[in-house]
Amino acid sequence: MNASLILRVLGVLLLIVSGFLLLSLPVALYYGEIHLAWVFLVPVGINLLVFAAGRLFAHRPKDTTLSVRSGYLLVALSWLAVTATGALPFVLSGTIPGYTDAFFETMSGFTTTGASILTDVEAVAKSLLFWRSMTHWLGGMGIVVLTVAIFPLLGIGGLRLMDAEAPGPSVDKFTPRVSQTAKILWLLYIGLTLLQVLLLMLGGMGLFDALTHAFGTMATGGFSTRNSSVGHYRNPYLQVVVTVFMLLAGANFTVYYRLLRGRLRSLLQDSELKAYLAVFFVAAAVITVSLNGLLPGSFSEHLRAASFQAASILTTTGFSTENFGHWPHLAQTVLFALMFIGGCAGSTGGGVKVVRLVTLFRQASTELRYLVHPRGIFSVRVSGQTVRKNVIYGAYAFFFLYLGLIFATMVVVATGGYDLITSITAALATLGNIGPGLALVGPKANYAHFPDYITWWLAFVMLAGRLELYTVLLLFTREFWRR
Amino acid sequence: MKAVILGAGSVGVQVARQLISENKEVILIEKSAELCQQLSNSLDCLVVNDEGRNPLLLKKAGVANADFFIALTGSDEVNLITCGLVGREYRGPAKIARVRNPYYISQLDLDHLPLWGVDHMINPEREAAKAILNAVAHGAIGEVVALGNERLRLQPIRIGADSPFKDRTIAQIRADFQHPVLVPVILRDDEVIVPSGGTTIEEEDSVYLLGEASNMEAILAQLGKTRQEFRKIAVIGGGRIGSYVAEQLSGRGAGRRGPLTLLHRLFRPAKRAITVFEQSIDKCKHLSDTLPDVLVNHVDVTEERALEEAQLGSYDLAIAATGNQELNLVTAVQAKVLGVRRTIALVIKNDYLDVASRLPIDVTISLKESLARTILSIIRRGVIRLLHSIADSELEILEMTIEKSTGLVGKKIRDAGLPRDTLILFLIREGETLLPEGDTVLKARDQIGIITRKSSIEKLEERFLNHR
Repeated sequence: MNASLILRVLGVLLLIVSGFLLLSLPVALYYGEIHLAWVFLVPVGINLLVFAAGRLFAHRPKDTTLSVRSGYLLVALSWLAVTATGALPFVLSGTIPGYTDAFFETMSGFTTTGASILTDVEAVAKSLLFWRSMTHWLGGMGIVVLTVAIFPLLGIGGLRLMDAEAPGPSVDKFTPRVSQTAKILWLLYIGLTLLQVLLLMLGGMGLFDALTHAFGTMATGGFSTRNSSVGHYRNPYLQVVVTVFMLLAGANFTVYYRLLRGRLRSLLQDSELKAYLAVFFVAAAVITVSLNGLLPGSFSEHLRAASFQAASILTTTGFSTENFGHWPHLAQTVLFALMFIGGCAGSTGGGVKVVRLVTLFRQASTELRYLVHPRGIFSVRVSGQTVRKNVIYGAYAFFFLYLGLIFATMVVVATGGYDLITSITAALATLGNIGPGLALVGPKANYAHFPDYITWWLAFVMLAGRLELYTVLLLFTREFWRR
Repeated sequence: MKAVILGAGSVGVQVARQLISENKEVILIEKSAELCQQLSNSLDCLVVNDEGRNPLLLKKAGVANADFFIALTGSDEVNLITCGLVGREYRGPAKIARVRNPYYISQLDLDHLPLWGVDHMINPEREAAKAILNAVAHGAIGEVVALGNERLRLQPIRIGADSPFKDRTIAQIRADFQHPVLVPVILRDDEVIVPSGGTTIEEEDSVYLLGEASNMEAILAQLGKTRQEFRKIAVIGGGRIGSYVAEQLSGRGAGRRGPLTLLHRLFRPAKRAITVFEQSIDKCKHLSDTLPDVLVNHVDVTEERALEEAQLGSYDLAIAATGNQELNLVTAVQAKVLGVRRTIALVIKNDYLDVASRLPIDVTISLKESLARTILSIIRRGVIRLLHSIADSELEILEMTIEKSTGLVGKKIRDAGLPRDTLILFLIREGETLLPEGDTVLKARDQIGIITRKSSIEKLEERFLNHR
C-alpha cells in the first residue's frame, strides 16, 4: 500500500469537502444563526490538519500511480473520513446529541439514502439543514468522482479511482481521459440541479427550499426540510417537477451526454433506459389502479401520487407526498418490489441497478434457449452489445451478495425485536440507499428508535450499498490484506 | 498483354494458367523456391523467386510495362502494400489486390474510392458468397446469371430421368413454351455443346435456358420447378463465406445498401430462420456476437449422427460452405437424403463441379470459378467485357458494342461471320433488350451479348476491334 499517497489524496479530498462545509456559513449568516458558525469551522479545521499532515509528513511520493488495492482502500477511507468529520456539526450544535446518530445521519446523507433519525426536521437550524442536504448533493455524483475531476488542477493524474465509486458495473468512459469524463459528469449534474432549482422557484418555492430539494432530488437522496417531505407542498406542479427530476437523476448520465451530442439513435438501442422507463410506467399504472379503487380522491391525484412514489422508490430517492404506509396492499407490494431494482448504472441512484437486472434477465432467457438448442452458442446482448462472460458472472455475484447482505441486515434488525416488514424494508432501504421503508421505518416514521448497534450496522450497509458492495466487502477479505 | 502475378498459390496459378491459355505474357513472383522450380517446369511463363516486397525486383520483373499487376499472396496487407508500391512507381499497370478481410472490403464496397491506387480489390470468398446468395434468391435451382441490364436470365437445368426435355430436340422444346426461350449451352459429361435446333437433349445433361427474367418463373414452373420460399435455412460452416451468407440472408450487414441485398429484401416476404453449424467454438462465439438474428450451433458435422441430431431434415435449404469441399459435397447429399428440399454446395476445385452435377445437389458454386470470373471481368473491361463464364471458363459470355467502323453494321446476324460455336444471346438497342433472331440486322451502337469458346476470343477481338 502506498500510504503516503493515500494520505495526500485523502487530504486533498477533505480540503474539497471543507469548501462545501463553508458554504453553510452564508446560510447561517442570512438566517441569523451566526452563533452556529463554529460548528462548521471545527470540521474544516480538522480537515485542514489532515491536508497539512499529508503535505508535511508524507514525503512526496515518487510515483503517483496508485495500486488497485490502494485505490479501493482510498475510496472506502475517504467516505469514512468525510462522514466522520461531516457528522461533527450535528453533534457540536447539539441538534443530534449522540455521535452514533449523527454519523448515521451524515452517512445517510453522503450515500444519498435519506434515512433520518430526526423526528422534527423543521425545528433544526437552516444552516445545518443546508449542510445535511449538501451531503446528498456531494455524495450523489461521488466525492471521489469530484476529486478525480479536480485532480488535473492539482497536478495529480491518471488515478483510476472511479471504478471503485461509480455506480454500476463499469464506468462508461465517453472521453479518453477519466478526469475529462468526471468533469463532464459533474457539469451535467450541476446543470440539471440548477435547472431544477429554477423550475421549483417558478412554482413558488423559496430559494432555500428549492436548493435543498433539488440537492435531494438530483442526488436521489431524499432528505427534505419539511416533516411531511415533498407532501408539504400541495402544488401539483412542484410534485410533477420533482417526479420528472427524480427520473432524470435515476437515468444514466451518459444519456444526457449522448442527447447533447445528438446521438438519439443510440438512446433507442439503450436496453437499460428502455427497461427503466418500462418498469416505471408499469409500476405507476398498477399503483394508480390500486389506489383508484380503495382511496378517496380523483384519478389525476392518484396518478400523480402513484407516479411520484413509483419514481421516488425506483430511483431510490425516498421522497414522499403521501403516507404510502397506509396505501392498499397491492400498491405497497409494488413499491416493495421496486426496492429491489434501483436506478440505472451511471446515475446517482442506488440499488441493484437496472442494467444488472437486464443482464441477468437476458442471461436467464439464454439459459432457456440452451435447453431448446443444446448445441447453440448464444451471446448475451445488452443495448446491442455483447456482454462478456465475466460481466455476467459479476452481475450474478453482485446479486447474490446483495441478497446475502439484505438477509444478514434483516436478521441484525430483527434482533432488536422488530417485525418482518420493518426488518426487511429497513435492510432494502439502507442497502439500496432509498431511505424510507414500510411499517416502523415507513415514510412518516424514522430510524431514531433503533439501538446503537443496529444504527452502526445500517450506516455500514448504506456505505456498502453506495460503493456497490465490492469496494467495501473487499476490505474484509484476507486476500486484500495479504502482501 | 502482359500481367505480373504476385503469389503463386492455387489462385495465382489458376489465374496464370487462364491467361497463358489466352496467349498472354505472364510473370509469376513466388517466395517459395521449391514451388517456383515446380511451376517453371509446368507453366509457360516466367517464374521469379522472391518475396515481392522489393521494388527493385518488381522493376526487374518488368512491372513498368505490364498491363496488370495482380497481388494474390495470402496476406491482405502484403497485397495492398505491394500494389501501393507499384502504383507509386509506375503509371502503367492496373493494380489488382486480393483482400479477404471483410472489414477492409465492406467500406470499400460502399464508396468505391480507391485505396492507395489499388484499382480493384477482389475477394473470391465474397464473390462465391454472392453467387450463393444469388442462387438462393432465385430459388436455388441452379446458378442464375442476370444478363442484358438484368432483363434476361440464364439458368442451368439438370435433366433428370423424368424431365419433359429428355430425348427431345431443342426446336421441339422451344415450341413448348409460350415465352421465347434460348438454349445456348448444353453440358454433357466433359463436353461443352453449343447446340443447334436439331440437337437432342439427353438425360444427365445440364441445359442452360435463356429467357426474359419476367417470364422465367413461368418457364420453370412449366418444368415443375416452382420457386420455393425458404423459411428455414441451414448454413453449414461459419467461415468467411458461411458467415457472409448467413449475415446477408438474415438481413443484417454493413453492405445492406447493395443491389443484391435489395433483391433479397424483395424476395423475402417472411422472416427467415437462419441456422449456422460450425465446429470451431471461437468462430461460433464470434458469429453469435456479430449476428444476433442467426442461431449459431456448435456442431461438428463430421461426427456420427450430428446432422440427424441437428434435425437438418426440417430445413428448406441447406448451404454447405465449409472450407472442406469434399465435406461440402457429402453434407449436401446427406442433407438431401435427410429431406432438405434444396441444397447448395461450395467447392474449391472446378473438377468437382462435374462430380457435383452427377450428385443430387441443386446448386454447386465453385470458389475458383468465382475468382477467375472476377479477374477476367476486370481484365476484359475494354471494348469486350466479360459477363460470365461457364464450365471452367471454357465458354465465356461477353458483351461488346458494335462500332460504326466495324464491318458488322447493316449485316444480318447469320451473315456476320462469327466464329464457330458463337451465338449472339441478346441485343440492347436504345435501352431495349431484345432476343435476336438470325435475320436481325445489326446497327451501330448496338450492345450485343455473345457466348463463345475461349479459343475463339482472339478471332472475335479481331472481328470487333480491327476496323473494317
